[in-house]
Amino acid sequence: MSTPFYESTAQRGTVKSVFAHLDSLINAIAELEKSGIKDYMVMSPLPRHDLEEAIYKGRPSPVRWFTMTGAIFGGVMGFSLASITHLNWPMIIPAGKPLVSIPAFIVITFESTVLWGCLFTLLGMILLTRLHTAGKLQVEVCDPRFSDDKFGLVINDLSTKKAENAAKILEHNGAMEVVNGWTIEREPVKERVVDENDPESLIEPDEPNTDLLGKLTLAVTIIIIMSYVGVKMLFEYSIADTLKSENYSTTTQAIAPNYRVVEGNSNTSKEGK
Amino acid sequence: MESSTSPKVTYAKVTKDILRPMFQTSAGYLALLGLATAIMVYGGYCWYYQLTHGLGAAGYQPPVFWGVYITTFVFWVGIGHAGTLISAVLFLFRSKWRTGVYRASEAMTIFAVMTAALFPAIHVGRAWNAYWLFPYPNQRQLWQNFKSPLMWDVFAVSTYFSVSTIFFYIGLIPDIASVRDRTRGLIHQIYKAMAVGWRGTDRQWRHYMAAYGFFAAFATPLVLSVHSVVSWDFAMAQTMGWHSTLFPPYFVAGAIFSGCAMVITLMLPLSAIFGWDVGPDGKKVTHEHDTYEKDVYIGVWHLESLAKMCILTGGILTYAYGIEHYIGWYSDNPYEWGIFEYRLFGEYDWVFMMMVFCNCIAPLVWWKKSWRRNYTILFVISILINIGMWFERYNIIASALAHQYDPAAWTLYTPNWVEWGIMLGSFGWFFVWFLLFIRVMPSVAIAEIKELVRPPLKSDEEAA
Repeated sequence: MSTPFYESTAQRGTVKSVFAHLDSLINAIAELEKSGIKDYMVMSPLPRHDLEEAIYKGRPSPVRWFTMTGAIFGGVMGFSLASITHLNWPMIIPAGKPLVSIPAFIVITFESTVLWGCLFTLLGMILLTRLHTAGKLQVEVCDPRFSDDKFGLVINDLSTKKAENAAKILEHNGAMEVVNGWTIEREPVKERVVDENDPESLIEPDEPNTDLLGKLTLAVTIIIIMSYVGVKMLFEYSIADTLKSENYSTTTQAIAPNYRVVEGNSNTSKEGK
Repeated sequence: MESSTSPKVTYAKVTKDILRPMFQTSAGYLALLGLATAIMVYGGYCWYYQLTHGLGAAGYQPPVFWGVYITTFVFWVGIGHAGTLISAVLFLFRSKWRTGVYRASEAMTIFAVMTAALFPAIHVGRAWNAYWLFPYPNQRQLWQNFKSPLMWDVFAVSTYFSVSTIFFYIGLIPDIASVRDRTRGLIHQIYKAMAVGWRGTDRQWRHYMAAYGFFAAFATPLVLSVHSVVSWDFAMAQTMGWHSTLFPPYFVAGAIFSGCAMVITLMLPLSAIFGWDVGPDGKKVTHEHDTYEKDVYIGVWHLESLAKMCILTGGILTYAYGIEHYIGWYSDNPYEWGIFEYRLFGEYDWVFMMMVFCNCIAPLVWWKKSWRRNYTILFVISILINIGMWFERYNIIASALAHQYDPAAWTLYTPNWVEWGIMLGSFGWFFVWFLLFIRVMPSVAIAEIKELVRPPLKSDEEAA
């Protein structure tokens, strides 16, 4: 195991600080809030309730609304799935057993409630934590020490004066490292020199592939849509007409005789006489 | 990890200790992996033989059509339960001993359910049609019968697998991020993708912890529901020896019993090999009166707590065996008592004796404190419990089907080599997954262990 190279730096307008002590960090947060800075990010290697309390003042996470929506959706869906499919193709039991049997469907309803509640919670967590865009988090946040034993605090969009002030507060409260983006001396950005005779210089420099997941998702979605359209077209142009002329149903997406439309078929009658 | 006794345990030490055994392979590990793979391949061959020769290759004797496959299915689903119990139920109870063992137990759950999921496909014979189990209509818009316990089982096991997998992976994300920050090159890229951009920001932790609580709350009733539903596969049938309201609690207790035993079987060698029972002073913590008993990742305290869970659930199980037979006799129903008498004194009496010895008598030695803290005794009894719990399911399934109402249809079912081979192969499959897991993932939860450590405080340093 070796730690990859990481240079602790900050962009212009950003102040980054590293804390070795939890109580110093909590004090720093309180003082920053007092001085009017409300927009900051705190990194920690573990979840701490005291930290959450200091930042969010006991406001609960809205994940719970996703959970409730999912659970209600799942419950309704599970029960409907079982009841509607049983009503759709009624299996009449002569002794008078109900078609929609609540005790028998409780299990399906319960399992569906749990499954969808869980899936919605996952969705809520991904959306609220912005995990889908977390690959593009700013460089100050991506310090390997924050997944080991150090805490971090990053403030963005500060003017030169405000940044100086914030850096002072952080240092005063015992930050082990404070980097003010305004005070770092930078080399001017070099322009890329393209030499027509040198094929090497024509190649674009490698860009970090941060949104691989997004591209993959897009590719898979396109493949699914194209396959669907392809199959549909193949179906329409090849056998759909033949099937329709022979009174087969094509609307149910199944190559099967549509028994439901045949009149006088007592097997599918809902009275079950 | 109690703060008062261990000033030396720091966050950095936790990260280092837990990540140290990763990516290191030894000859012993490779030999174990090779053995597990060989067993898995043999199981695969047996299944291949059955697929090419038809289900007749299995030793079914009409009317016994549920045999070793269903027995092994129930066994593996049961093994899975302890993982969820430890990770979800004990999380909600804020139990501290769970932290060290929960990651590996959860992995055990996932792999056990993956193993179990193979068996319906193996059991139906034409495995390529196993997807018919899933809820979608056939060409004539006819859906599955949702009043059938077998359909409930499909829902229960697949929901259980999905929820456990989500819970497991969500728990892993902060630790994968920790691995990502300590690796380079290709491995770093792989972990970077798996960590899905986790940086431990306040926003991430806030919603993460809220969601984690809900996952635990959802997984908790699943612990009770899954094996209840599995038990209804039997209890809803009009078969003597199965048709009982006792089955759900009896099965759930049995599942947790076997699962906790399996956790002991897996954790004990893991802890010894990875040195997770070493205290902050660098010495192994094995003695009863050791100061650092609770400061190790997986040590005697954790294993003893698991043994206590086994004592409790084993007691419930013993009571269930007793009451089942008592009700059989007290019902005055000749068919009902007939089957229980057959289990006690018939051809399957050795299965019954095996079950009673392994599940009811053997765990009693754990009532003595020094014995349940002895590694050898812990290991041997945990294996006995696993064997006993397999035989319990075999006892329930085979004997009840072999002796139903009509004596003319009585038979004796003995599994043949194909069935034994597939059963054995399932252990190979399980261990291959588990062995791969312990090398590529942190098998103790880093972030959660850090929660038990006293945080670094300026005030502490100033006071010192």
